Amino acid sequence: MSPLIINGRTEKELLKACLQGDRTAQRDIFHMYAGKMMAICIRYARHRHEAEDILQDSFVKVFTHLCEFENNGSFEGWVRRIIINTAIKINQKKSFSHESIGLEHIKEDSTGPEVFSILSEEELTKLISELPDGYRMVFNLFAIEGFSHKEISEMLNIEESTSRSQLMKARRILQEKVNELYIIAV
Amino acid sequence: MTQIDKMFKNKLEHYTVDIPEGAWDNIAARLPENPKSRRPWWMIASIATVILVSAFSAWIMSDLKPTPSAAIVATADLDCLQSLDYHYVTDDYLNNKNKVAPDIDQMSAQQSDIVDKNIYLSEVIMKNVDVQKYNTSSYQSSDQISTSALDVQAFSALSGDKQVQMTQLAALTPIQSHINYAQDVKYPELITTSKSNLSKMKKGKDKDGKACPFVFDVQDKSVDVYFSNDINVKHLTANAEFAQYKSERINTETPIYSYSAGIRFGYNLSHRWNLHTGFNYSQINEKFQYIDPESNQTRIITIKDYVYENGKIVDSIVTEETVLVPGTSKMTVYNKYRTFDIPILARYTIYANKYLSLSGLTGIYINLALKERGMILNPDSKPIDITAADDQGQTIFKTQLGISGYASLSMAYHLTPNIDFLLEPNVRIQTEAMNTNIHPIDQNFTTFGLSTGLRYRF
Repeated sequence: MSPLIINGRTEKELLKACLQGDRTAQRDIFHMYAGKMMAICIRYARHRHEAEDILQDSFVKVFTHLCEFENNGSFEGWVRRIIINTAIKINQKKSFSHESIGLEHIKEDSTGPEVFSILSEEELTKLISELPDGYRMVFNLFAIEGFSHKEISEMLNIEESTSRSQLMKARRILQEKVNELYIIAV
Repeated sequence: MTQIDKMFKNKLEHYTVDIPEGAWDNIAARLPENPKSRRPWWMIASIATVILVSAFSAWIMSDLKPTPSAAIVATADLDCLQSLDYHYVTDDYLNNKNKVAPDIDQMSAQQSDIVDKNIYLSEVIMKNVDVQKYNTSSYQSSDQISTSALDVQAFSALSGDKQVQMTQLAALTPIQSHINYAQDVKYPELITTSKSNLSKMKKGKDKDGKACPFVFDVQDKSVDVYFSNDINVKHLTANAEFAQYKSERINTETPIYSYSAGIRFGYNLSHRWNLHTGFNYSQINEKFQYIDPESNQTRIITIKDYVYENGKIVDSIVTEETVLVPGTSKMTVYNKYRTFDIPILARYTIYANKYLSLSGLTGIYINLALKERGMILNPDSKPIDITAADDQGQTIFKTQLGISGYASLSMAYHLTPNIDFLLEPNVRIQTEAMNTNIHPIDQNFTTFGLSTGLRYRF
């Protein structure tokens, strides 16, 4: 796979320039990843303004701590991890204990691939954003990022059992909402 | 991972959205101008330290250049040396004094005394002044005594009307000169004694092989490297108008474990007095904890109304409602006050034996810079960032702290003849407030520390 070239410079060259404070290189790096990272921010945030805050805080961290990036991993993965950590911190700072929702009656059943095929990414992202804070964080970390419950419990400072139960509840809510959307769509 | 997880993952893993307008401008505004901009501060501090230490050393050395007046100083030091138990060279020559004198049987008692005094005088000058190019050369006869040009006046005064030949010789180290002197005067017993004792002298050991507590003529310079574990007492001073605000700050800011570290260069002025200077970094840490009882969160509630037709949903109407949810937020921030200083300290050796020495150390810390980071409450009881400047570009804290007082009790255990282990309980008092005049409360710290380190004497 050939390296991505922006304005005649590879990612590696851009990162080297960023380390020397080259503002143009920093802007190019930002535009290279911002779209993808913004999508992640939206999934973790309560609303778009918070997503923008996460994106901006994260990229400030990326550029001020760039010297700590070790070239043995992917830069995108490193940025992604910063985004997630920032989102978790912002979520913890603003956490409120108003999350209990009576969802036990919703049965977890299977949702066919055909349902997802007609739903857009934007609609699915919105569904995740609408989840209560704890459910949203756990679902994102487990289902999309692929972290284990043990890792999630350490990241969010919660019990593993809490992580499991929040994931289950998040799935139920999402399933119900997906079904609703599907009914409307068809 | 269930099917729904996989579906979401597959759909969203590589999802990209439009970047919000102005996002890059906001990020760029928050980025430091250039990482290089931080360097000048460190460069200036480093260069200043090097210049200061070099100037200090040069000043010390220039005071000790060989001048006629230095000979008089050296004569005064001779008394001091003779009074010490561990001055090998003096001991050496005093021990051999009787061996030298009988062999110079042509000399009168007065001449013999003159020769001995001249030897001591030359040696003292050479070691104290660190001049390596003067040497007593050889006795041609009882009336021909060679000595350094430096001693002309002093020696002439002692020798009276006797004929004296003065010769300036090529550069030699003090130890070489001792040996050459002994060889030239052709006293084998003196050569043996001198070589062995001079060897010990070079290593800074006495006849028992123990480290010497007052080897200032051999090891007159030192370098200390230390690390201090500190606790801080914070002082807040405010007038009655701000008593409530002061109380709030005391309740929200708690000093925690702090530390300092640095390097000190030392020079022996005499066998008890030393001067030290170098570079010190201190970090005062404290925890800022604040609970905001009125932290409200704005939540947007989306309400969907479904339109049914024959029991089926055919449409939906979405409305959004903004609700203010009351809550409490707790904020914990770790504040850091970092100071970069040049210490100017005087050390007085109170007690010393073969194994350890006890000194009192006192002086000043000249602050080069004060850097702070974290949050405190403002007079309106709202947390504010102490790093950021206000609308007028003014910061709460000064950029330089002025002068602090320092005192410690320094215990040095001699690990080897050249290396000491240091243990120093110390106290440092900030004499000036850390904040600028725009802030209504004056803040300073008194730091109590226990410093450990190593001293290398050379």
